[in-house]
Amino acid sequence: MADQLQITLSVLKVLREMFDRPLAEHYGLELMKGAGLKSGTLYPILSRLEKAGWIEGEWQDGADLGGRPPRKYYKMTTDGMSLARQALAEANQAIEPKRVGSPARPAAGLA
Amino acid sequence: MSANFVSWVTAMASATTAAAIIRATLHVRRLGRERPLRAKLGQAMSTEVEARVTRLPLGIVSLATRRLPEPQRSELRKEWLAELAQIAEETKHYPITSWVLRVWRSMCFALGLVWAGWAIGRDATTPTPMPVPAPVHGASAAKSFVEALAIMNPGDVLTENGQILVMLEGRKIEVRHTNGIIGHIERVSDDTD
Repeated sequence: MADQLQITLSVLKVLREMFDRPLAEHYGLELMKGAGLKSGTLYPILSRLEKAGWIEGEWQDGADLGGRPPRKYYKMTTDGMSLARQALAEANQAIEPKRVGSPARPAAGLA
Repeated sequence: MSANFVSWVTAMASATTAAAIIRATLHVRRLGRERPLRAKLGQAMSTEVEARVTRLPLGIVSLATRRLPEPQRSELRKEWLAELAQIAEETKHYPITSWVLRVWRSMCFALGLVWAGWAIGRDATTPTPMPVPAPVHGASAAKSFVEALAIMNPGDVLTENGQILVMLEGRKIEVRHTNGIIGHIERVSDDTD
């Protein structure tokens, strides 16, 4: 499942946004604002995540919308949550600055 | 003479004032006649432009969905149109900038969808690459080979002193592990041997 999905920075942004509230339902416009992505980037990612089974989409119930068209909400699946946790942890580890012993400063006046 | 002159000046002044009043009245009347027409025309034009520009994102969404594969097309179109409606809903609370904000946000959203439509269509038509098996070496390779044999073979798989034996239908098949997860059958004999 995870083999089919390429984890890019944009994918990580979407995952982080969804993972902050893993049980909540998110819609496209909200994720665009939260992750700071354009619609052209977000929707292909949502499509890939849904295809890979990380998230699932569900249509809003049309009973109480006041004439507004129903929206599609996305929610993380159980597998998606654990895979997202793993992907985010790996990304954090990868971008964490490595602690390298800084060279000792030469004493003043000796240079 | 001077009285005549004064009366003449007074008459002229009165006439000029009267003319000015008449001219002003006519001008106001003319303005009164012209203003509603100009205003109506301007309003009609602005409504026309507003309607056309407001509909533009809808046209762009339709264009974007053309690139999508058939099964996803109607669903994504529905989803995107609902988001456009949400943009309109969010911007209606700003009385002065409402229209400009709405058009700007809708256009940005819709133009991005042209790219999204193309990318989703490309993903759908590109076959998913098969995952490449991780290379196996040495002992783990031999173990994988034996496991693979056990999975593929209904018979028993035994290993004796590095020699792999597959017991199948009363026969003993000696298999040699060659390389990676590849092996070959070396000898087939009856189990009674």
